[in-house]
Amino acid sequence: MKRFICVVLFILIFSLASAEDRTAAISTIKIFIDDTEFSWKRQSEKPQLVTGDEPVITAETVISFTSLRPEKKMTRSALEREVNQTELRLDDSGYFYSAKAVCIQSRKEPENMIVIITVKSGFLWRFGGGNAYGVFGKSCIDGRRLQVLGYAGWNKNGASVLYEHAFDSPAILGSSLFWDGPASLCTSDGTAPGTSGITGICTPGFFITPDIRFCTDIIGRVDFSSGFAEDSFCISPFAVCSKFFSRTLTSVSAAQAYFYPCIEQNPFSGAEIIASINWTPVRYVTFAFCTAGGLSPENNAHTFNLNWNTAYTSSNTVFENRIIRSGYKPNELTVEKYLYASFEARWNMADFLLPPAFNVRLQPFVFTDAALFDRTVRDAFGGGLRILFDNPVFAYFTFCYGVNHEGTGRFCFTATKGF
Amino acid sequence: MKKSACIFLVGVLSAAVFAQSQKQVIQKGIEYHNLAKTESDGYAAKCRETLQPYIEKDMTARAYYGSAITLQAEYCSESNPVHALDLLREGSAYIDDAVKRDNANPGLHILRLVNGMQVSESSPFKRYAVLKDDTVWLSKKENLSGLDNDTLALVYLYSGLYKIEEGDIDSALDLFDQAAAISPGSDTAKAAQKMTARYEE
Repeated sequence: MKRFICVVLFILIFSLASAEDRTAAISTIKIFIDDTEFSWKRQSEKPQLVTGDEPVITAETVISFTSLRPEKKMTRSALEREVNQTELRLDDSGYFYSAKAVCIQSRKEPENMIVIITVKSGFLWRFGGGNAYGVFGKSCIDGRRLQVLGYAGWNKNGASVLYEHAFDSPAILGSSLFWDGPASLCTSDGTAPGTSGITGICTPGFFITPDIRFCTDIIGRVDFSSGFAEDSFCISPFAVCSKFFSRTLTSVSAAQAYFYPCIEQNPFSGAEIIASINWTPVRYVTFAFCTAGGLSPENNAHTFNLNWNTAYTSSNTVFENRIIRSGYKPNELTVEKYLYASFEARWNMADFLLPPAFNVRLQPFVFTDAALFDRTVRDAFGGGLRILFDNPVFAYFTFCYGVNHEGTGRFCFTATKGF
Repeated sequence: MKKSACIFLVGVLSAAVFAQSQKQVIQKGIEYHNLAKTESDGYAAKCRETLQPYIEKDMTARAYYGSAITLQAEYCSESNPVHALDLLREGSAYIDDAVKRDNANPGLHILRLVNGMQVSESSPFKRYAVLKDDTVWLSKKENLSGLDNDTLALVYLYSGLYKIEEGDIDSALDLFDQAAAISPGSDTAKAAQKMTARYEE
């Protein structure tokens, strides 16, 4: 009898598990952009316009945020997961005021699934700022993932162009040109000219999946007084993976290497990795954890700056937050190898309107940073406040103060929303 | 005695006339609201102008006044999105306040549901928290008694749209079917059928 019950239970569990993970084919992907409908039935073809006018944002741009394709077969659970992630990616893109993705069973062909993606075009102009400079530009130019930004101010002037999924391919083309002046023309006491120059970055790359991109920063700097600096010419491949597990759990991880081709002995000069995770268990509280590590060969040029990241790299958004926010001197935080970890508890305190009408989020937080290098621990404990201007402004400011176990403190300002 | 009775009667009659005229003016304001499509037609501004004197006393006037402000937000959403957000917040605050002060009025819940869905879909200002309350309130039969079929169809359509936002497609399709069945041939029914076609194949 016991054996019989066991067999029945086994069959039941097995059938439930197999029912859950039955393979399904996607017969159609319907895309609704504002009042326009597209239907995508064949992987080899583009989405076809069904009704409405050509929308502001193209259907190709919408499908670039998903790995779902018509005729693709996958398990139902995998399909539902990808549909959910598609919605989160579209939401996060900043291109849309609302985005919804669902999958339903076809009534005519129950073995097939239909994916329905509905989006409303958002505000595509961008304006923001950072530490003593302002930014203005436009995203999603011509309905594609093309962004042009102009920078002007005291310490950053220039422009950047980023074209993701260029010409409906997985390719990424990015480039930027910056002058770090007029601030760099002055020394701190304003008496003698400092070192001023132009930094150019070219960033080709491609998407491996909608979440993972692989790019290479090709960076060169021309100094006004000394000309082209060989040790500033850097080729830096990197990979970034942004993952949306749910609306409340996200992660970003990245790896980057640094090569200096003009240095004859050993062009490879370092590599680092970083991973961060954000979890919002309840509306008002977010926990964020970040860990990173860097390694540089002995007697080589590259050093990692855990004090203040001023490097002009397109991957800045990933690595610029791994800093020790307490009163160490800059040279104490400039290292050739390191291990780093940081934790923040954030309180999503208020969401209000700042005159004339800026949508602002206030986020006080407490943090602890720790880094290990040269058998020494450098740490920081403190608190701060983030002022986050979300859609349509996209400008972020972090002010914080931290002390280390030696009791020395430092005030920090960064133009990011943290890791 | 006669004199005071006359005065009383005159008072009652003038109050009735005043109430009637107030009702007519508010109705006119609502008509302006429903006609408003573009900024150049001026109806949203006319609606605000017409309803403004009554927004402290009449909650329907207050809610439609708020809704007219959100319509004006739509006009400037491209040219000045920051100002548009400001208007959306201001307008929605009027609607929320009207619903709070006259919570038993189904018309206000319906207005907030319709307005809130449109605002949430077309702006970064999300109203889903209050929309959830409205769909729950409007799902109770006792709160829908006395509504005509066209209004009921509107309730079903927008409750269905909210269900899609929640990811409950089956409930949404049921609501769209109800909207199409209760007011066949109406614009609301056509919109519901369109939504059904979108989610069924």
